[in-house]
Amino acid sequence: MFKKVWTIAKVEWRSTVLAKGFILAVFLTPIFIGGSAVVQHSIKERVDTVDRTLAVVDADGKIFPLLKAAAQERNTKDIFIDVGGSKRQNGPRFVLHRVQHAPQKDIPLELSNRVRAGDIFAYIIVDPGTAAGLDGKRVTYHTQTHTYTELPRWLHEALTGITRKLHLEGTSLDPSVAEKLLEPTPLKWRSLVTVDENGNRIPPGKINLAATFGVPAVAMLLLFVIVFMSVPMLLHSVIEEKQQRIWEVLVSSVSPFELLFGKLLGAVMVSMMLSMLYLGGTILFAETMGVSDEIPGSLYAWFLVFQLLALLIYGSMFSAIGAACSELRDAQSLMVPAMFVIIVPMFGWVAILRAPSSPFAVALSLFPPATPMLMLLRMALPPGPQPWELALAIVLTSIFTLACVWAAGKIFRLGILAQGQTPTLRRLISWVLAK
Amino acid sequence: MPDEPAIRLQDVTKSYGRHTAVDRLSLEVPRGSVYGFIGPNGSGKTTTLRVIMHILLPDDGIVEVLGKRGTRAANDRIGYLPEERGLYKKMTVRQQLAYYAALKGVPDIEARTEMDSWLKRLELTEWVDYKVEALSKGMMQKIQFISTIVSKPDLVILDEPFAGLDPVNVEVMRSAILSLRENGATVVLSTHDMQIASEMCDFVLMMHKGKKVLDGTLESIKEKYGSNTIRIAVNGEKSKLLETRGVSLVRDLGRVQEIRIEQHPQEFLHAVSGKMDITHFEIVTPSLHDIFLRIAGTDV
Repeated sequence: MFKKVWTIAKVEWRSTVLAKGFILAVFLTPIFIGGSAVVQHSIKERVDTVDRTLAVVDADGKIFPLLKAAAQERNTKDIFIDVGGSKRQNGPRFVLHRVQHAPQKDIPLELSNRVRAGDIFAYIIVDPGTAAGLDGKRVTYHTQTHTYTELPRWLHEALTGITRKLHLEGTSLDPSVAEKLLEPTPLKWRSLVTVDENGNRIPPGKINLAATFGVPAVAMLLLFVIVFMSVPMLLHSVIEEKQQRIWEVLVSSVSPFELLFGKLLGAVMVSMMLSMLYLGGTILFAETMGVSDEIPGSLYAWFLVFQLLALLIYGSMFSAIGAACSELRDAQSLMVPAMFVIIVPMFGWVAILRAPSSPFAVALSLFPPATPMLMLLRMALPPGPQPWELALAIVLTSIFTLACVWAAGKIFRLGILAQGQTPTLRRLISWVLAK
Repeated sequence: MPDEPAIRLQDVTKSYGRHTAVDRLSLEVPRGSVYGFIGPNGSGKTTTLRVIMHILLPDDGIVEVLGKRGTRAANDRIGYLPEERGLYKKMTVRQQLAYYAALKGVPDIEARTEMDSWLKRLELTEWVDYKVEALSKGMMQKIQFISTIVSKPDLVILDEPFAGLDPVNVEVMRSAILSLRENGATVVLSTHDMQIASEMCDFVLMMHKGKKVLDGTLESIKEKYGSNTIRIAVNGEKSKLLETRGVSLVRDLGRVQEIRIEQHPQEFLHAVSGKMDITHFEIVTPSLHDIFLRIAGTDV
């Protein structure tokens, strides 16, 4: 039996890896991913230096001078960086001008129209009494570009400092003492203390935040890319065999289960080849960038384990859908429920990245269709899952994988013979339950 | 066991929903014979062949192929050419044939020898390294045929092997199939072509609406359906002849009537010779086509 399964797997592997589309995808995928990183980096380098003009309505007139001084200080110091000995502007100037309070005019409407006309970027209205710290008084910020957060963030910090200063002036506190009291306490991020194999204490080191977030995200993304470069071929190959009437010759020589296993094994071989290429590239890149220490060696091994499980789960689904359909367009309707399962990891991965040990993270990473992606993500994030969580995840996912392969085999057995019938989810379920 | 039939079906039934495609079918295919399945479209021939190949499981009955009952164990010794044929368009002829042979468990070297021999015989040697998509339809059918027999099977099942072939290729295929029998293989073929069936088959089974309506050697079938059919011409009123008890009209050929009688022709001749002036009397041996039409009637 295995010899035939192996024969099918070899043919599947060869027909996939020798296809021009696949070869192009293998080389273009890292180029696109790398290219998008380069584009984002170059966009980041092309800094925004367009002035932001802010109109200030300050009836008391106490805050505006201080705010303008703070803006001028920022405009002369904070927005320049040193590049090869010369200064280069690295952000927009904030240009403030005061609008005189005129009770007979509708100032907010007039300023709103100026914002719409592009004359000013935004305006703020400082309530009378704000400088004196009267209860309920505030500053309101108005713009039509709420996605630009740099200006309001700076305003918040500057206004906080100014109002504190004005309030302190009304007290008997020494301004230098007050300033000391309000000074923020520096917080440095460091790793935990560890002990090496000789019992020597290793002091805490600096945290590479980019690697801390980057390694799990890249690991999960890589798994996703490799799996979904491999499994769609199963859908296409099964539908092609049905369309070209090859299936009957095949199932006269091998059982539908053998055919399914052969195809799954072929997909596993294709994806393992991709792993060798991409993981090899990742190791090389990490070595070159000097961040290889940030990637635990065991992560590579777990990557392969979860890759295998993901391939069998999603590969079974795609094969079963292919077997049930006579044409690719029929498959699209059945792909909708399958896609819901596939994108579960995409719903939760950001939340897990922020809180990898939260009950939500544990529960979602134990949901078998999402386990390969999300458990790998958690493993790459300190402190990593508890051993029992990992063991339970492997057991649950293995059971789910077997169930998927079994159900796919049942669908395959009947679906491969069905011609010209539009497949429905109900029919697939009836095929799974058929004796 | 050489005396064992190559295929034995006993009361095999297969239904699709409410439709019974094969209804309590029993048959035995003797080893070394060419066994023809004939019948109109939808009569259950293809379903029966799929049941024999264990591609479909019967709802009821016994399926025994090459001595193996109810399993696919014998499938490696069977070459199957399905009615709906297909080849991998992107594979070369050699890759295609090697793949199908490997799926039958045939070692590569052995398959290569057999493949080369058949390619030469069917004049396809120069196409061996071409992709299948470059071949003509007729060539593809010959490649499909070679893929069926490249494993040197003991039993060859061919579902409509002559469909779509031009007359030259029909002859090539016919010769190839007969050579399989000469080499000891049992051949089961389904066909619509009654002439081919009558010329090639040692045994014929006719199916109609899922049931077996004919089964036996061509001679026995013709004897059964032929001895009661005569062509007769009489002087005078034809109606008098047709009013005779036990006579039914098959075809009015004009001057001559083809009729079916219930008794032996000699007895019938003796009975009517004194009553009417007979100018022509001929015992007719019906062709398989005639028998087919007679049984299938208006359904064909």
